[in-house]
Amino acid sequence: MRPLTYFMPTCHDIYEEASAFLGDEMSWWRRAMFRMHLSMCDVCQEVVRQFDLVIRSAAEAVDSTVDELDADVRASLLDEFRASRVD
Amino acid sequence: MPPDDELVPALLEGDDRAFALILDSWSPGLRRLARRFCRSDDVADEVVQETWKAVITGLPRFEGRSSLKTWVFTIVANRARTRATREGRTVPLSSIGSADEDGGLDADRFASGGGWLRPPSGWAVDSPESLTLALEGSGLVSRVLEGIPPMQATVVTLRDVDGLGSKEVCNLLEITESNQRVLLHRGRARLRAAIEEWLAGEANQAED
Repeated sequence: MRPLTYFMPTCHDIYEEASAFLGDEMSWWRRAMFRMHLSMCDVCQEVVRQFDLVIRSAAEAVDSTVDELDADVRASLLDEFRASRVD
Repeated sequence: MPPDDELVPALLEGDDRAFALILDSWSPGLRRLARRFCRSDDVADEVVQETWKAVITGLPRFEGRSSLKTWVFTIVANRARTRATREGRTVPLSSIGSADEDGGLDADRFASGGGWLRPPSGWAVDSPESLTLALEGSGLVSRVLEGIPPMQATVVTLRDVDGLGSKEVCNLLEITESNQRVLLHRGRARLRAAIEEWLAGEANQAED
């Protein structure tokens, strides 16, 4: 029988698979091995935490106001919507 | 944003606040997506406007097989793609890149055995909110998304900024699940690395 460490992901594996881990797209076995690595490796723990922070702050960090609709276009679409619902 | 089973009936009843809500919430994402396909920003904006008109007339036929948001994003992607094809401009698929690069992602940061060679430094932020605050006004994330391969940027934007799911993104961009996964993680890795560098720079400045 092989020791558990044989199946453990390396730091490079953790770095490559961080999105799969955080997105819950990993087999239970891989996840268990992944967690075991994290429990013993502070650097990887921090890196996975950083990926999580990046993912969860991306929406706020991108300034969507620059991509808002032109005010006239917005008004005409709202008018069109209102007109379409009048029976 | 209310769930679809509240939103769709409200829209069908002609509730213009509901329409204004989706118009304002989704238009930035629709414009960003349309621009990925179209020759110019003006064309992209036309596509977005046509999309909203199609949504208005098509709403009674919306069957709910996908979420309303996905349905709207799909209309914009299809229209933008059609428009780009008609104008002889298609998004080069080569920009997706192959699934494997030599030695894997950022191989130069790792030793041959897979351990860290150049480990990243820790971040002095403890929540998404504090990271957002630290990055506020820097425009860093937008800048990184402009600078990385377009398909990576598109996938990261759709997933993490617009909040679509992986299957939805695959359908929208006509890419496989494995391509989507690779593009997403590469893009996120670039973002993380850029933020790492930026935070280190800020910390150095604070020390000076």
